[in-house]
Amino acid sequence: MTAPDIIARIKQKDWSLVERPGLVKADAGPSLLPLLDDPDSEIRHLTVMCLNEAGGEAARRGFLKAMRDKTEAVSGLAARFLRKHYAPADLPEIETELERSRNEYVREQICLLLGETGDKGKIPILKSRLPREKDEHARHAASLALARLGDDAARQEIADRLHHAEPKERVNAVNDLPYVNDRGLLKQLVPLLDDTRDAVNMSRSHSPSYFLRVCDVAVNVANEMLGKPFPWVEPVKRYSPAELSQAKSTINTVR
Amino acid sequence: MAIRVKVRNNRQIIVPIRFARAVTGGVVIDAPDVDDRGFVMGNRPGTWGSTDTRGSMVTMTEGDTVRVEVLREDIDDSAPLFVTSSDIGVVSVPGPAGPLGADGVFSIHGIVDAIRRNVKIQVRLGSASGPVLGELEPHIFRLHRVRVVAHLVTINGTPTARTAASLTPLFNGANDIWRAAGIEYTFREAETRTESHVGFAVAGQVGPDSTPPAATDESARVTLANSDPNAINIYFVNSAVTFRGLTSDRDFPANLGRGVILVDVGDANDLAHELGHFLDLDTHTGDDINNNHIRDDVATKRHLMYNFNPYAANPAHQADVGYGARVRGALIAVKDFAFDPTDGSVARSRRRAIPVPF
Repeated sequence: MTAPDIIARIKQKDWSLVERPGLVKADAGPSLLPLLDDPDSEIRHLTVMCLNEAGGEAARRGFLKAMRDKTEAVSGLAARFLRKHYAPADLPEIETELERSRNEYVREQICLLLGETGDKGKIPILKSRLPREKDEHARHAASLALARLGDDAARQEIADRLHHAEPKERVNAVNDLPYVNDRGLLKQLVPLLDDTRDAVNMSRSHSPSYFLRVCDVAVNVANEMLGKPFPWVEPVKRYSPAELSQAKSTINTVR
Repeated sequence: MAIRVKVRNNRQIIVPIRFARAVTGGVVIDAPDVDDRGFVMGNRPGTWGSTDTRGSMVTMTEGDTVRVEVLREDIDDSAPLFVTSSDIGVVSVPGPAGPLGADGVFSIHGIVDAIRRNVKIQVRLGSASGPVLGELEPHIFRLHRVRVVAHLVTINGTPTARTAASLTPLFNGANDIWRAAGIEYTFREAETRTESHVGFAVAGQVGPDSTPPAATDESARVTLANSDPNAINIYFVNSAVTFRGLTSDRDFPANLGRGVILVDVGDANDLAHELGHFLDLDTHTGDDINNNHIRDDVATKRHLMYNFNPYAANPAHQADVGYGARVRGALIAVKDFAFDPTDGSVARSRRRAIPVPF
């Protein structure tokens, strides 16, 4: 599909452009950038989606611009996509936006991005942000990013949350582990494999409740982080004692 | 002007006025319900920050003007009341500067979504600078638009009775409800899809889910079909055995299908309710954190996320909670009481409304 075709379809708000991958190619990217100035927020929104498909330099430039969009859905989406498209040279601009954005979702995504840089030099930026951040989700993201970068206090915070008294809090902490991306933390899951309290309702809205337990969620996350060693894992399953025991043995061997 | 009160037993709470919805009966877009549960709000770290406002909250979309009614609970009808805004940079009170009219209805204009800049609407006695008799905390939200794609579903040859054209007023009705939370669902008739299924147990009907939910469930078969990953997919079917609406949101395993199913008798309130489920309002109002139903009072039935619509009029005085006979209300909780797992609905749904794909 040519760039003019894509532009025409974006202006018609034709979302089928991004329904399946492959329609928007990288060479179309630069031609799409002017659409980020369109007065219609849905066109800007769809343009951000198309830039994500296109990738490359144009996407990167587009997201840097769109993360300042006045429509929160547009700026939030751009910030999220920026996490896989940014270049190291963009970081000063991104860090500036962390301080000035009024969109808490943008700030949350930027914190996660800074954690994903792997650069311990970002720890002071995140630590400075933490006490000033008013939004709980952005603050949580800053804390996770610090943990990912190896900050001891943030890692201890995750360990503490894993052993919180409430099952739901434990599960929230378990679900944070893939982002923190440290297999060493998996050892902390071993005691949770004995926690058979209900934690997450996995049924549809008006169907009978069906809860996964803390131990089931822990197995699912361990399986994901370890490269799927347990062939019996399913997203909605309460595991047998034998399966939990196998998971415990495997996690105990992780170094 | 001083107000003299003789306090008995060292403690007396006087409620001269309250705030309420400006209309009764069906939902009216410029007359949102008022979250009047509780009194002192204090610190709300997860949502709105700290406030010394004592009273109700109301929410609205930036740029809108809405109506709210002052109810005279413990003050003479002839007492002149004046309504003021503590911060006219955030909200104003349009209309004549004189005392509140006999119907008690006043307007609030939401100027800007000012994050954590709390403002008060105050009802004062005697003049615009008189003593404060009651306070209301309004919150103004920038509009989030969320795209929805409708599916007209035929099961074993029996189609939904709905058409793409008939869906426009349905979505308009749901949008009237969600306007107070600053969320609008964008529906286009031209994007409506059609699907046909065979092999269901009963023609036109979606059967109950199995436990645990499985890909072979009829609801899964419906929601796995032809979905648009960048929208909330809403599947319209003729009927279902156990529900009027059914939702699996984006936390649900993708291989079991995500989206909303609505039966033909489902109305705009049912649709708005299911969309609430999709936007992270998992727990029904009146349920505890383990989904046990524990509460059925009038205030609970006024909530959009109450489980039942129409509900059983038991006891009889709950037959109409302000929206019509046995009709569930449309209040989307803005207050965020820690003891209620269904609270903070406005904040939660707005956050979930931002990221796509779904």
